[in-house]
Amino acid sequence: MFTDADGPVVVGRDLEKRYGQGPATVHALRGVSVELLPGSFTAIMGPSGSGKSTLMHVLAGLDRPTAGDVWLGPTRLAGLDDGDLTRIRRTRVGFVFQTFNLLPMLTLEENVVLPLKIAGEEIDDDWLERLLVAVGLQERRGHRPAELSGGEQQRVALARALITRPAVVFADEPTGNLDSHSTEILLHMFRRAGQEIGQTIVLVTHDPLAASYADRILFLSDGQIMHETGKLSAADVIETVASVR
Amino acid sequence: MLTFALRSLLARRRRAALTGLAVLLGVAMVSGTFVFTDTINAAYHGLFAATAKGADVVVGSRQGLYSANAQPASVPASLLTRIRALHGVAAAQGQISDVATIVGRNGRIVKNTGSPTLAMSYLPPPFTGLQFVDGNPPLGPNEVVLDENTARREGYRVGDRVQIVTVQPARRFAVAGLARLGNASTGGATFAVFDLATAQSLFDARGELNTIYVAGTTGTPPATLKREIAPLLPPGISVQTSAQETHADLHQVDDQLGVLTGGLKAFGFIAILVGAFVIAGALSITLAQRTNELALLRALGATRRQVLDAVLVEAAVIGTLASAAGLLAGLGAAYLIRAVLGASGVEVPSTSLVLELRTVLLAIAVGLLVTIAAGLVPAARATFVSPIEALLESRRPARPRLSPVLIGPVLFLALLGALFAFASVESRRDRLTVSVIGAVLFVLAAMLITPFVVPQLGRLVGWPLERGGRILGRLARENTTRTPVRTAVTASSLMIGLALVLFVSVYVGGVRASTRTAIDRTLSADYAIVNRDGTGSIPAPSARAVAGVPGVLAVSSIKQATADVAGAGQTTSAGIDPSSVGQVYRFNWVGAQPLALADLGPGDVLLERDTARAAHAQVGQQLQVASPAGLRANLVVRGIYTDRALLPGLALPLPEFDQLFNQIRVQQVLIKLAPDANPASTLAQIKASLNSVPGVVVRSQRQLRDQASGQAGSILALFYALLALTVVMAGLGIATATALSIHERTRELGVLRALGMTRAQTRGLVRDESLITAAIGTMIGAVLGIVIAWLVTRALTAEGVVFTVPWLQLALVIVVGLAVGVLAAVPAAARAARLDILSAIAHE
Repeated sequence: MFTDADGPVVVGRDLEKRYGQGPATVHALRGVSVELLPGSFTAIMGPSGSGKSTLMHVLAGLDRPTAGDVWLGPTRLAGLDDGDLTRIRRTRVGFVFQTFNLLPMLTLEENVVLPLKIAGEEIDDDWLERLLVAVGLQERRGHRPAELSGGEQQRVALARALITRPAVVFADEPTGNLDSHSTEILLHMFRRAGQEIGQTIVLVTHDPLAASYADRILFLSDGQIMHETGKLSAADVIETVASVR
Repeated sequence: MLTFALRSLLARRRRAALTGLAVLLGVAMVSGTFVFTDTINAAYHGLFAATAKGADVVVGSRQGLYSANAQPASVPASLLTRIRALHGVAAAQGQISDVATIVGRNGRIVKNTGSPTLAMSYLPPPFTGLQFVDGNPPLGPNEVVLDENTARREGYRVGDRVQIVTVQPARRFAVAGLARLGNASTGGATFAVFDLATAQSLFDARGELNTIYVAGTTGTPPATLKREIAPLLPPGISVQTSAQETHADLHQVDDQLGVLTGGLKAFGFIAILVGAFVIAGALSITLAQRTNELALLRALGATRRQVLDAVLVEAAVIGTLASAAGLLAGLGAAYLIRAVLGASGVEVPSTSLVLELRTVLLAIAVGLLVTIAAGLVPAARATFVSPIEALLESRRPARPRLSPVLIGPVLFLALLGALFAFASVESRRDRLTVSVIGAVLFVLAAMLITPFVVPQLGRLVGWPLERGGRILGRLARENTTRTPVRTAVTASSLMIGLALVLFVSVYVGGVRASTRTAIDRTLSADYAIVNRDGTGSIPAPSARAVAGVPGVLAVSSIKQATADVAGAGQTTSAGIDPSSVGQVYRFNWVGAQPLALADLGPGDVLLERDTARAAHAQVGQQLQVASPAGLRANLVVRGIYTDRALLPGLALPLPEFDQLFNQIRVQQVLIKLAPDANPASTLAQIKASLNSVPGVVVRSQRQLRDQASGQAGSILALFYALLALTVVMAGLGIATATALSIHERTRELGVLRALGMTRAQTRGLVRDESLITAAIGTMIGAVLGIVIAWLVTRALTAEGVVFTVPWLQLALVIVVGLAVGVLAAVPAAARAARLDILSAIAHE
């Protein structure tokens, strides 16, 4: 799947993102560099306005940095047109959004295979089965999103992100709309994806519990990485957040 | 609350703009149609008022401006002197009016759209209704004044010489001036004006007048003047106040152009319907969003009253502004229709655009009421349940419920429609009315049940788009069918437009076929001599000229006039020659042949079946027939026949006809060749014999048939133009609805883009949605159009109107309908493809 199995999956170098001009300029990113290794599970934390969502969007090719470079595997994103970026999103990136964003008229199974269908690619039935079993929804594949709970919908969204075997899955506050029980189930599944299939995962969150599932935590503030740690317990995350601020 | 309403309007600028656009389109449709119709009517009114200008009473009858039938009465010129001598008469002038033919610069006859060229003598002031655009009134035997339109079209200017054919052979005249009648351009009617003495000599009427215009002294009421003049008149000559005269003329126009005015009225109704649907369709899209907002307001403590106020303010602002803009757009549309028609050669008389108060009120009522009614639906939804329930409810897509409340009316309408359609009613007119009512009820029933079949139809028409598991086609289909009411309403305007196109083409095809069949069945003549313009009368000597041609077996003249028949009203009356008509025309008798045609004598009349029905007359009974001049005759019905093409109305023996109608010219001369005659050489000889007769042509049976069945051409073009406008409006309605629908689903599109949907795929998705909506409208419209056509033609089966499935038009309608869908999606698709993914995903 990767040209270089040991090299980083995503590289961001000296990333800057400015909105507006003159004195009203907002600096969302002020020179951020990151590398995401294969199979890593990284959480990006920070208060609102710290630039964590912008960083994720730039790394995922959903937004262009004002300065700096992004490589997705061997591909440099700068200079790619919309069509190329779209193809990269299709094949190399998976997304999980805060609001589940399933299509209401499609069944659960249809929602999962939607990215493959859009790309016009073959569906690997074994892989689909494995994902449905892994998210615990194989019995309910014919149901519509409206018949599922929020936690179940987000598990469908995770399966949808994994169906294309992407190089990296970006999750933007995936637990933001979930109760604590559903949150734990979902986070377990993220961790299993990392452990069982070596999925590279980036989790943007301000939930310390969510961040405690990651192997590596980046703390962002005012568009800069202020602190970086390895795995922490939820309690330690809270403490670190307080100290970083 | 007012501030909130206005602020929410500003905040939802794009939504408000699109909704306003829909209202604008709907109102423009309604006002444009009515302005156009009123303008045509006002033009006719102005025309007739102008011809009787300055006169208090009118003696004799005028040549009907739009009628080939009515022939002017003839009064001695000496009558004018006697009228002038009357106490109470301030001024009196006589006029000659007839028909003529103008020859264009290229030597060709100036063709009008169906109406004759009027020839008139100049009326000096105070009576002249002519407005001179250039030059002077005609003076002396060599001058003529032409109407402005014809002169412009043919390139004649003051001082040029123009060839004109009258009862006399063609002669050249100098153009003394260019004029128009009243403020109206006379549209199809062209005219040539000579001075009185010239007109009298040109039309063999020395010492005669057709009409005398009389102005009374101040203080003499027209009625008194009329009473004073009446005793002076010879029998058969009438005197009327000019108000009566104008009224009678308008009545005649209404009769002649009944199809046109009736059609325009019907179209006004259709415009209201389509306009309302375009508006309602756009508003139904934002229903869920607005319900949500209003429910939120309720949750925040707004009272029901406050929510209602907010909705009304928003609807009133959008409705009023957009309706006002729509009125302007409507004026523009009316101007455009006229310009397009004029450019395509269909001339209808017109003045400056007429904007009646009724049009303004109707257009605004449609714009405002539909907007408000559509605004009240979410208000009701948001206020009649608890705020939280409403919030939850607004997130669920609305599905139509087949409630008993709805089933009732649908069944009732369909049943009523069927009842009307199949009821056997006696008279043709009533049967037609009844089946039209039935058809309208069917349309309404179809519109009511459309939302319930949208899912099925969507699957059917969407199949080609999603075959092979194409997920985006599937998404497009699901998007259109998950809101069936909205889709149905959006598709309805297209459905109506296309159904009408199909209906009109089947109907016209059927009527044409029936006319052809009727002529084939009844006309046994080989040739006919008719006026070059196709409608006017021809000099009587035409018959004599061809009678001597070797190879000609029989020659029979037919005259035509409009009579008032007791019980049947204005009826076309033919004068036939009993001794020869049998050789050129086969009567299609109802029952056995009643008597030998040759035995038809004075006091006898033959009735066409519809006239007989309307007058409740049977063979052997007496019937009163009155001429336009007021002469009456009691005739005995000798036979009843069917023919709606050549001899509609009734037929009289010529001697009787001549007593009733003071008419020298004949309508047509029918010729039968001897069985052993050489057709080609005989035809050449017939043509040669007619060299001395001006303004006539010889037509073969086949040409006559084609001409008769093609007559409705220009009016048909007008209807097709209006229907095309409906389809365009429907397309704009679908475009607005698609744009709103895309706006509403911004986030969904953003997610799909993030999941890897390309820009091209995005455009395709939007296009497919619009296409499916259009296809649903097209499908129902096609079925409906054919069903209605079948119903109406069925009511006319007895007239030989046959129903045929119009495969070509059907294919055309389907192609147009689908093209409308594709085109309507273009703006929304472009916008959807340009969406910024991140802000789309963050979109509420």
